[in-house]
Amino acid sequence: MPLGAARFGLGGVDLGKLELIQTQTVSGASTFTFTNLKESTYNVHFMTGIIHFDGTANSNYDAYIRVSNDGGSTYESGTDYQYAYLNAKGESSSFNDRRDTAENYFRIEGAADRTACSLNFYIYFYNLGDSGKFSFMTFQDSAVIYTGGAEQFRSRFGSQVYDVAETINALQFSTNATQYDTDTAMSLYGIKE
Amino acid sequence: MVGSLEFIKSATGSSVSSFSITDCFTDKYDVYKVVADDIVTSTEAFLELRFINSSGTIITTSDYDFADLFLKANTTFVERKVTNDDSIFDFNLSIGSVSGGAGNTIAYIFNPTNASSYTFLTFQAGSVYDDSGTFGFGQKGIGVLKQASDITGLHFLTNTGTVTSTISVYGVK
Repeated sequence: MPLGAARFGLGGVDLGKLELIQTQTVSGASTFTFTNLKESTYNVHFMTGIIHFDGTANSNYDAYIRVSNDGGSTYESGTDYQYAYLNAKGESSSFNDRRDTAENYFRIEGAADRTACSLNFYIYFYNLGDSGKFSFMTFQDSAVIYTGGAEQFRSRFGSQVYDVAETINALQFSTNATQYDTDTAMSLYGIKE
Repeated sequence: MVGSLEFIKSATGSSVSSFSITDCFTDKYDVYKVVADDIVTSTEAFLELRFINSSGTIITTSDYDFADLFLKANTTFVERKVTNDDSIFDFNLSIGSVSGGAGNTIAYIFNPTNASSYTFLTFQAGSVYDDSGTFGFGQKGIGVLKQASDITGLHFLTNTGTVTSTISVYGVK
């Protein structure tokens, strides 16, 4: 059973048109990649993930995603990424708009390096294999951060775009933490149309 | 969403102002997933959603409510709250006239064929829009058709110009 499927309760069932491409578990790495996207087969990809960060205890860290147009030899780091998402807070505090029109990665805002805290998310990617289209993603996450001396619940949802029209055939995850910690796992699926 | 995803039907509109997916809902599922990716419009346009009932009639009465958040990469987000409209107006915003531009919406439809329940949906969307420049744009929303009727299909229409897209419907077990 794919680890990602197990973690998200998908085990033991027919996934039908949700077709698993790859599951990865990561531990002790600051970056990892998906280099077989099957982007010519799928126009919509679905990804689930659980991330544990390893850095300084009680500090909060993010995950970043960059795209590649050359199969993973290089990853695009120019300011061609835009994001707009809402940062929803569990405590009695106003939600925040998060937006940027010239970022150099997709941002998955993170979680604390703290026991039992993790960043849990799903992402839909669109048009990765379409050389004439931008690459879009919509996402939602759920995480616990550490702020003001307490654990606080967060959820973010929104949309991001890599605004260069080209074929994307690999994805790279990085982080501002020291590395991804044990029990980090992700699964990438294609949605067959 | 937990469980399997089973393809039911897709329909393609090519440079049209509207198109339908008929007979995509049955009593086999309570929850359906709609994948509307690569929506290319001839100009910046909303792709609206209307439901089709079991008589084959496109429902155009003012029985639709929806609320969504416009998430804009360049400026303040906007809350949209609309009652008694004749469509789910905000199903997607696309600007296919920009090179590289396309709209993408994932929606879940709940209880369409249950004639004793309203039909509900949740949706999320990603695209770009024009605001003196091309900027990232997202939507997260909810909607309802306040008719307790047997819904069997979907109808999509633009508020201006034409659309090209293939939209697929899946059953969620």
